[in-house]
Amino acid sequence: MLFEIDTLSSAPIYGQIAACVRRAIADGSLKAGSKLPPSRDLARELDVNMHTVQRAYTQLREEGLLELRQGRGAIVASGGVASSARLNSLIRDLLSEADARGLTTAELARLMETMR
Amino acid sequence: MSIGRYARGARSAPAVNPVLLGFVATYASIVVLSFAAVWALGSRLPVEARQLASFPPEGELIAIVVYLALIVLPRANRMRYALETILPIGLSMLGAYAAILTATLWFNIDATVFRMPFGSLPGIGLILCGTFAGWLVGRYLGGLAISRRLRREAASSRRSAWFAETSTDGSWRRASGVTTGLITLPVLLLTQATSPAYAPGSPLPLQLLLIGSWAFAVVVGDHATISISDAAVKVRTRSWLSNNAGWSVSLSEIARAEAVTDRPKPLIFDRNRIVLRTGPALEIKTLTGSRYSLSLDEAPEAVAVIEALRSGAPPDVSEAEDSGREPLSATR
Repeated sequence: MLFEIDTLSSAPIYGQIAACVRRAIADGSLKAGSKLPPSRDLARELDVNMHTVQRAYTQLREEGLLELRQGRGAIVASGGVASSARLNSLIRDLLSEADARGLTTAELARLMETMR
Repeated sequence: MSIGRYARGARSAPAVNPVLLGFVATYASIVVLSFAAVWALGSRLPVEARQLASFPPEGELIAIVVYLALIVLPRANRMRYALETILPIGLSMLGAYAAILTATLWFNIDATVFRMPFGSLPGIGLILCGTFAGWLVGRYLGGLAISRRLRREAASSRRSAWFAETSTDGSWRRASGVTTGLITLPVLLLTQATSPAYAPGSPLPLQLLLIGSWAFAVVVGDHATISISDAAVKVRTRSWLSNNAGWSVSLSEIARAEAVTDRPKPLIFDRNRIVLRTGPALEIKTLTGSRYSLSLDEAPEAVAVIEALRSGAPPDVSEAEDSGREPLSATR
């Protein structure tokens, strides 16, 4: 899986790493039981502190997306994939409803933004 | 996210120096401890044990000087072809020696009759453990050298890392079984003919150990991980017994990366070729003509990531994922 970060971004690096994993689970490229790279390896390749990666993994565990097992590393939790699949299904429903009402994606996004 | 091109180069040798210094420190401390033990306890050993335990220091000193010289030499990619090989073999031999010395001291201190260190199961166990421990430490350091050799050359705000892993299948076991079997057989026959000279009084046939290690290596198999960053492509293997710890190539050295189909072949001793299964593989050709390969189900995706990073653009793997479902165009 691909991790991308930008150190000049206002978003914290651990948040960017967590977002990469969330995206990969949502688009199906990470499935339940998939193993994530060890935090040490990922930190080395991204040239960030290992604790930053661990913080991202811990946040994802608290969200129920990952299981952190001693000696086995970070594994995508089956519950996390199920909740992500449910979100995808709701988004698809929303998009088809918007299509039916003649709303463009940009208009839908604007509408969603006003509701936040 | 803000703009910023990816760094495409990589620092090479300086990052390896801590690993090499760690190796030299480990090597030197084992040698010093061995000499100190023989010097302190030699007088309490029978004559035969003293002969077995003592050895001239010149060879070890030369080895240490050569390793230190490799740190000093101003070669851009020094140790590229040697480090992963030297470290496991060097430390396993030293581990074996340290274990033989320990067993000799253990069995013979204040004894009147000399006992060979190979002459009992605890002695053989100790020697095997020493050899294997040295091998593992050397392999770990060799792996670190592969990981650290190529690091980001310049600070860049945008950074990418792509990871995947692969493992062996039946075709690798067949090819590997034939290769290791053909190597083991002559050693086995040689040991059969000269066994007393190798292990006098050993209760455990060396032939059994050889066949055991061969079967263990084939059954356990191998496992490799690949990481592609904006600095380099790095492959590390996880097998305990294989001397091939992996390879690494800087993105700036890559001439072409492509997805091919490949299969494990017996009697191929190419360290750059890590083909663990029949099927898709990533193949990289460098500007100097070297060829690197790795079995990888996600080879088209890996090629897309490499090409994107080489061009300085953010990688987009979605198209590659789609194209990955198509038949592979290039076939070896």
